[in-house]
Amino acid sequence: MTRLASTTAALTHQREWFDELRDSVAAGGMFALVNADAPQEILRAMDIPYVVNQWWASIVTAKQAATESLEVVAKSGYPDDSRQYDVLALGSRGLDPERAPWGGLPKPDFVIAELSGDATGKVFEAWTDDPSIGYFAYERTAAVTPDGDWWELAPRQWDRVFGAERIALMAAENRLLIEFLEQRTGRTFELSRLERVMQLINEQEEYNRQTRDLIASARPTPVRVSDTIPAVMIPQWHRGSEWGRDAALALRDEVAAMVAAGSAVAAEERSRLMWVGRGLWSDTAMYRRFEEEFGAVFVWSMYLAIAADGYIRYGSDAIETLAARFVGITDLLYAPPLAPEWYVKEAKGHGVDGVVHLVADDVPGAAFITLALEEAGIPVLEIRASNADPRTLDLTGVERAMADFITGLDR
Amino acid sequence: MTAQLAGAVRDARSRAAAVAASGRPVIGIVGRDVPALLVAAAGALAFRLAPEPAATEETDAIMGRAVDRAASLVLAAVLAGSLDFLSGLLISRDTEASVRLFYTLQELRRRGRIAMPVQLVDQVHQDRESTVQFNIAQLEHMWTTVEQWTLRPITADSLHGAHAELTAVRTELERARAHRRAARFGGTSALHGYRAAATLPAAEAIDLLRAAMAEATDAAAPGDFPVFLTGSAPLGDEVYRAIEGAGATVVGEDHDWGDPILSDRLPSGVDRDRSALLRELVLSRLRGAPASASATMAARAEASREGIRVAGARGLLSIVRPHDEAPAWDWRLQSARAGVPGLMLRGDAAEDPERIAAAVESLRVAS
Repeated sequence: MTRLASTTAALTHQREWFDELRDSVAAGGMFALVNADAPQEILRAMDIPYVVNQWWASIVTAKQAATESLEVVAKSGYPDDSRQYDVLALGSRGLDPERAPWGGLPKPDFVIAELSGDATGKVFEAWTDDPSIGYFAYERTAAVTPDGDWWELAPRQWDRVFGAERIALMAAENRLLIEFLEQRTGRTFELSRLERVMQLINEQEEYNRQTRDLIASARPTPVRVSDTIPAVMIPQWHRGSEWGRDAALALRDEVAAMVAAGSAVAAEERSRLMWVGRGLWSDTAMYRRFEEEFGAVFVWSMYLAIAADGYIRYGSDAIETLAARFVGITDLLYAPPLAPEWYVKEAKGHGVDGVVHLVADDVPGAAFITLALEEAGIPVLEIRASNADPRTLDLTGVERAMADFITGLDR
Repeated sequence: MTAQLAGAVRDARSRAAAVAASGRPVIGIVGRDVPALLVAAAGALAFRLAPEPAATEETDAIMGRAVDRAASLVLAAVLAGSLDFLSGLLISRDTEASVRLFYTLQELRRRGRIAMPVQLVDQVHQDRESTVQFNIAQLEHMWTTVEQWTLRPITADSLHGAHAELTAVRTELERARAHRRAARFGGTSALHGYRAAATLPAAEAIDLLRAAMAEATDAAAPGDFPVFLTGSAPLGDEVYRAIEGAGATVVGEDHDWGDPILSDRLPSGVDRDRSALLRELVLSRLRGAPASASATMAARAEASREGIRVAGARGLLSIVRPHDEAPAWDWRLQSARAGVPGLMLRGDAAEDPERIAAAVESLRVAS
């Protein structure tokens, strides 16, 4: 089976975009480094290019430069065993240019993050060891218990999911970020531009929702998760652009055509699996072996599903609507009861036979996700690992545990 | 009398349980960010939880192993039923571990596993007006909650009473700090004093502090090498005893069970409307001593440097428990700006009295 055309196109676009970014920065242009859980739409509306920290971490990891990047962090006097995924970009700045992925990450003009956990703020503050780099931080507030199924309420009744006070705080911070950027760039924020960005994002995520629904109902599964992840995530990093919207549309059309043609990942699909948590998708050979030996296919990852359910927001005030998108985005994936209920809904919707749950050190509520799935009658294999630090990952052990789990499902 | 103070702190939970048995509500507090004034004004004893040793196999399974034991030990106590005398538990957003503890307890309650009411007092930490407004709203929720838990309204009179009581305790803590800076009071005793103030009824805490200070003499400090302690807020007093057992004195600290408690000022008065009162409470904490998990590295370094100067410390010792992430990030700038030799112990070494004693000796040599 060949790779999706949408995936190839997205990867090509990303490489070209990054080369252009490097050229632009070399010519004196500005850019921002943003953590994935902080709003990026204001940057888009102000035509300020940005790199998402987690995307760059994935490139560093894929290019086998994570260990070296963490060594750079340690040499500079910071811990290399804390917030590894968040800190890879910082460490990668110290790599030998010959070793740096994609020519290396240029120096950002500003960094933006939400104050999640105890140390994310410090990771981003560390960038300001270079005093020419500005830093803007969003508060992180705690999840409240939603008044109903969040995936139904979030697009239009977000107060009932996230609480009005949390949204008001983040909306105020959005306005502060605009001031911060206007002062540092000399550009003027225009609300109408943000409104257009928000419209494009809703269109993009509606296409993602249709793609998710197509895959959920298809038997057999037509596409690999390892293919849909870049085809979804690269356009996600370009959310609010016409390219991002069009890429999501192209993915939907391609998946629809494959479903119509009866395409199958595995010749004989015997087990449908769901992957909860961050992925270990760089080792594609491992997944192919499960397909070939066991007929076991991963049909779900959070990347497409959260794009489908987590981002769509329809509102008249773009600043507040943007806050309603981001204020609880991480809660949806990790905090009880929001996350466990959603994973169960998604597992049922995709007809999965079992779940592999990667439990990272830095996420809350993992036990309740496993518990909710098991209470729904879905077997779960928990893998405890950090996907950012290769030193902590025993891939052979992971593969063995997964093989045993899948074999157990077959019985 | 310092032994009496130490004993009272050791027995704080049973003393609080006795208060509850006598009919006065007791509300548990996790972290420094929950204002005790509102709890006391609702007629309850504010009992700040100090983690006690316990097996954590079950809590590890629920919360994961990669969480600071400060939180998992509280969960263990709740699951064991040893905090059943509480009318409710208020958890502050002082660390990520506390937030995890809240999510866990809330979910366990939703599932019927525990009965204890629990609320997060979601005080966030940037000194911005938007943050102040959010925090005021959270304290409004807390106000309503403690009234519901105690079935007693917060009134002007009850606020006056609580304010007077806490002011009296604070006065004794300030006296104790002055004794400490005059080398008449050791760090372990100071820690016990702060714990007594945060866990016992005001009158008991005041009596104990006064008695301990009456006993204090010149040169009562346990060691001749003054150390400033940073890093994790200690679970018990073991770290202090290990340092002072090695011939040093902890003359100051910047964790949330020590001197920073006095940086959170009480409102200047309580005769004002509710939002003005809450605003003052919010600003007091926002502008109080920075805590590692919620402050910038720059703010922490500056606060430590000033603490070292004021306390006259000759060494900086950072003791960082496993899975307590933030202090290790602070260390680079803290140690660079301290003006005295510094040493950090992380992970298992941070809980090993011999390693701590060796670190004290290394610092002494370096100074």
